[in-house]
Amino acid sequence: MEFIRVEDLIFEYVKTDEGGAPVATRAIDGVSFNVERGSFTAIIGQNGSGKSTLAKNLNGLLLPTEGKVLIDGLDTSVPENTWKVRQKVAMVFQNPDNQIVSAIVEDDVAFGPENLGIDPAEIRQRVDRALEGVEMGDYKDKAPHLLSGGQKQRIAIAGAVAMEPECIVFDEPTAMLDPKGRREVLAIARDLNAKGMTVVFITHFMEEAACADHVLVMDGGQIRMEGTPREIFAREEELEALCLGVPAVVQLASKLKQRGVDLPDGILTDDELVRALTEAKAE
Amino acid sequence: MIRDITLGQYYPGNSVIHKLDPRVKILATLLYIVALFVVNDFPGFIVAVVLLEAVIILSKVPRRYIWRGLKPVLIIIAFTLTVNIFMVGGDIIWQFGILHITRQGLRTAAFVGIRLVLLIIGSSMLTLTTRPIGLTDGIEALLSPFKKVGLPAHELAMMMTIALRFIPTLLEETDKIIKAQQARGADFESGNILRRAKALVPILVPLFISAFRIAQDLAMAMEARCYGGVVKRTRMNAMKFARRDLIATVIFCAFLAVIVLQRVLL
Amino acid sequence: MIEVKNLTHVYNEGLPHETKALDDISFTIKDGSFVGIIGHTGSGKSTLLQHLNGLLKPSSGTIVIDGVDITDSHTKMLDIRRRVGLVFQYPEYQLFEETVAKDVAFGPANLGLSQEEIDERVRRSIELVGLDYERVKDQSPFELSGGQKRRVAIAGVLAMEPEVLVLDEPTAGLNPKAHLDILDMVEEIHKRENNITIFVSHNMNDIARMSDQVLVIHQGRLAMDGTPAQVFAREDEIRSMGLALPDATEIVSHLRKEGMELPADCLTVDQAAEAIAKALEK
Repeated sequence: MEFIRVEDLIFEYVKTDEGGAPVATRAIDGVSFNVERGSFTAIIGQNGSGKSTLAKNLNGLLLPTEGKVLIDGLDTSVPENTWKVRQKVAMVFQNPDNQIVSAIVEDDVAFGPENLGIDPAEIRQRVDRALEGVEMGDYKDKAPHLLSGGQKQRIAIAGAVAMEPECIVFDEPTAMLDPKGRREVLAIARDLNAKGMTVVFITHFMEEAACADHVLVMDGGQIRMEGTPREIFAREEELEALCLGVPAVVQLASKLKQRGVDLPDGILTDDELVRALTEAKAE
Repeated sequence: MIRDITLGQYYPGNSVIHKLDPRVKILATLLYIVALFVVNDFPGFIVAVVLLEAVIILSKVPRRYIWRGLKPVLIIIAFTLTVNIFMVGGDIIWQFGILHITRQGLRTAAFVGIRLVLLIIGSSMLTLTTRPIGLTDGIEALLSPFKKVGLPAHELAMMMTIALRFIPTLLEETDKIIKAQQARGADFESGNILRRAKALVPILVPLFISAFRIAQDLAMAMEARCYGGVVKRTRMNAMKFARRDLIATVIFCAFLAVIVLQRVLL
Repeated sequence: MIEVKNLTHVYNEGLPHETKALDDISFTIKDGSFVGIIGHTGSGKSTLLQHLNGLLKPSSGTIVIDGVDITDSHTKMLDIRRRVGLVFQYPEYQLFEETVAKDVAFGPANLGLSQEEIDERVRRSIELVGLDYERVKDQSPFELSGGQKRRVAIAGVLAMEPEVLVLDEPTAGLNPKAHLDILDMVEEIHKRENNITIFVSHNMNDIARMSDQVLVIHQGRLAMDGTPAQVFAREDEIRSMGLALPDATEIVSHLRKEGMELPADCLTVDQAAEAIAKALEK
């Protein structure tokens, strides 16, 4: 069952030039895809490939210039749907600092549910549950500026979870984090997905994309490749042409094959490679 | 370091004072401040000290936190005291050249000193026991009668919330920018006023750009979290006027009444 | 040559919450070396970098660069800044001038050079970071792309012609292409200028590939100092510090645990492929 349906989406940013005439830059140029309910979809691409613009089209922060975005059947460009769509699709942004509204952690997590007009007792429960879910329960009375980048990002995720959305779009949530913070955020996203949340995860780290069910590769405002991580990373040359590269383990496997080592196709994790190599050695 | 500055410092707790309705706490603080300016004899101050002491004990806020709030203004207090001791005319009890101390001067200085200390401790008890959100909610509620004449009470409160959240972030940012420009040989410490003012440009421009970037990102994030939607906002910690709030209100009103009556009658 | 001896830095000295950010750090860096510094967030890396160009003064210990003790209070600040250029994390956030050329000129102008000399340095450093001087000089730095902004910011430090270039996570937040471009640029500058380059990174692949010498900072102390091969061969210690191995080293370590006979010092995918292929032939 599809949860998000994007049909022939075109998005243009309009600026006015020095003479005051409008100038349109096309950030998304005819994109169509579906996101299945409960799936983990990764979107990869360079800066300027249109992936962040696409993310903001998925919950009505930006509206299509042409084409359609349907969230659970709701057209984002219909004004009455705006708030329903934003409740169904929550977002976590790149900069951990610039998305936390309140000076106390738990008040920030409560911000979304408060905007939805939820009953105070219910908000209390949701906030506690959401903070426990990201293992930040002990920090509920702390000031966000004293936390690490990874911890702030976990607070932002709790803020999204507390809105009880059906899907969370992560817009490069790990780009500004250190390796530890990155691991934590990815683990939480995977955990949420395991519990049934639909996840759209935008990243430029290939290792993170390897965890997805489904990968979209964007370049120049268009989807250039689409498929499972195994399918995508098998097309190493095409990825390299887009300056994206593949995870080290995939690279190593293909270099070994070039040297005549007999390995199965589609190796994606360290464990798979180790297993294949120990078998190859045994033979 | 610049980032050690804390603003609107809140001391998490669960005491009766913490639990009081922020509206009551704000009003009580205002009443207390008014009373401090009405008092002009020692018995009155004793009542004021006892009341504040009771609040401190009930709040369970460690005294060093309260002391910390007082430290930065000690210089101002010392200055005011000195001015009052030497400048007030009256019965001279000590004289050296043009300097003289009068009985009235000592009395005024003592009163001004006590008043300032009580004023600062009194208002910091408000911020120490009220979370920033509660404070802004309280202000919003107290200002809401003025909405009819066009005062944007909610927007003002939201601005305060965001300011409290981002002041530390911007201070940290300033620290970083200063260091980075110093690494490029910038000198902020020497030269005349004009040169020093010019030297601020390399700090202020990046800082403004940062502030605008934050504003843009934050607006987007708030919108994504359904801020400004059609439904009426609720609050997790909705303000409720409970019995303890009534008692606190009565105590503070009685306090002001006693102080005023004493001043009028005696 | 850089000689750091017994460097210690204590924040809030004498106060109840005093913390030792750096604890008795000593190391030597030879001329022309490319040095990688690793350590997790809060290990003291940034504090160390800020000592190298005098932004922070040590509580004790000395830093001698080419015979000049920069921790000596008689050494002029500008002299230190001229010797050691420090590029902070996200350096593009410090750009402030109307044009690229003016922004890059800020450093040399602070050194009190002649206008001619300043112009010459601005041109040279903009070209050094791989930008077209004629094209960008009159552009506003704020209209450039993220990667280009970062190059301009780095040019601003290079224009001071430092003998030692220090970069704090020069590729933070960049996507794969810009990441590689910036590293290539840093390598190119290092080759051309033959100065000492010190960089901090969380990316162990970059550290392993580029550095001659690796310093590992852990809890304010210098935990290791050696070549990438020496450092990453001590994998258990690296892991216990919460750090990762280069991807290739990690895979090889897995294979070694499974009983394959492989050298412990494979740092790149190519080295790993060669070693594994050889081991399988046996």
